[in-house]
Amino acid sequence: MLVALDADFLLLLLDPDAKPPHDPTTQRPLDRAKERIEYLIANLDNAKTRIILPTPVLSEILNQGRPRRSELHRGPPQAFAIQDRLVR
Amino acid sequence: MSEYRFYVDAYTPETFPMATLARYMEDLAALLGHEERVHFQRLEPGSIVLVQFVEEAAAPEVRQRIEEVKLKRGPAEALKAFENIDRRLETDLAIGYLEEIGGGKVIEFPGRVRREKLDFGGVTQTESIDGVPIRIGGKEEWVPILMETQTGDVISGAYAKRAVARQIAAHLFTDVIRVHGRGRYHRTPEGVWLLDRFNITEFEVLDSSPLQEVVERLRAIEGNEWLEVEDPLEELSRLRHG
Repeated sequence: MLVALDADFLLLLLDPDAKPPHDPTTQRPLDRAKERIEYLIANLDNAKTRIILPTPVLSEILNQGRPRRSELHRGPPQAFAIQDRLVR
Repeated sequence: MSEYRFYVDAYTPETFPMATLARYMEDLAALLGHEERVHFQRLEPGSIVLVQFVEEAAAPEVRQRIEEVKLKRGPAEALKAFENIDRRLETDLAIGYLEEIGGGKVIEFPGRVRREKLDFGGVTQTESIDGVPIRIGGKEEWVPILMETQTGDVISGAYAKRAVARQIAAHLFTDVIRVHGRGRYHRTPEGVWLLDRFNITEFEVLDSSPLQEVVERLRAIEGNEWLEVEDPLEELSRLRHG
């Protein structure tokens, strides 16, 4: 199986305590969002799922002009590390 | 008991050479398997329709075998029989199908239509393949490298120059590596893209840490200013749409 993460989910994955999105059926903040994210990560791990981070997703997360965010992609070695570890 | 009809559109019983009929029947028997429990029943008039019945005890297994052949996963002799029938139909400028009486078509043989479909070839693109090297060896300058993907598929057709192959050999059977290079593909008439050759120019060893550990490391990277945003999803939406 192959899974592509979008920017919204990547943000929640990096910060599971972030304010969750609204559940479209209840129009209220998604119930137990943190537990759902951790459960999904565990499932993806167990299933050895290949995960893809599309370039536009990384662009949205990394290149929004705030200087400290650039710490996430300081140079080639670290950029490769992100690729290696998330694109499995 | 279940019954199967094998239909060929190019002949009638009056024009069908007996030797050709025998070859079709032989391959059909190999495709269905369970030769002692599958019986020829009759030849129907009109186009060529061979009817055979399968004893009840073998019916589920025959059905399963047909399903597997349809997915190109069946036993080797069944897949070969399918290929033989299809190529013979192609030569005879015919098409055919196998149907379970009361259950509809179970396998179609494109036959002559294969000729009408294009076989695209020679598409070359830069890309990467992940897997564990399981065989490296050869006496030419470009050394063949066999890799096994994490889903268990074996990829052949990859080559690396001796210097790179020597480095890859250090990871034989042990590490998952990502090889980069240029792959050449062709598309079969059935629409499947097959790798003809992949020239590896470089590779890297992948981190095989569990995803949960990787996520923890990513969360620990300093300077993630998103953590200071009260509602990051709303912020993302604002950045996208203004």
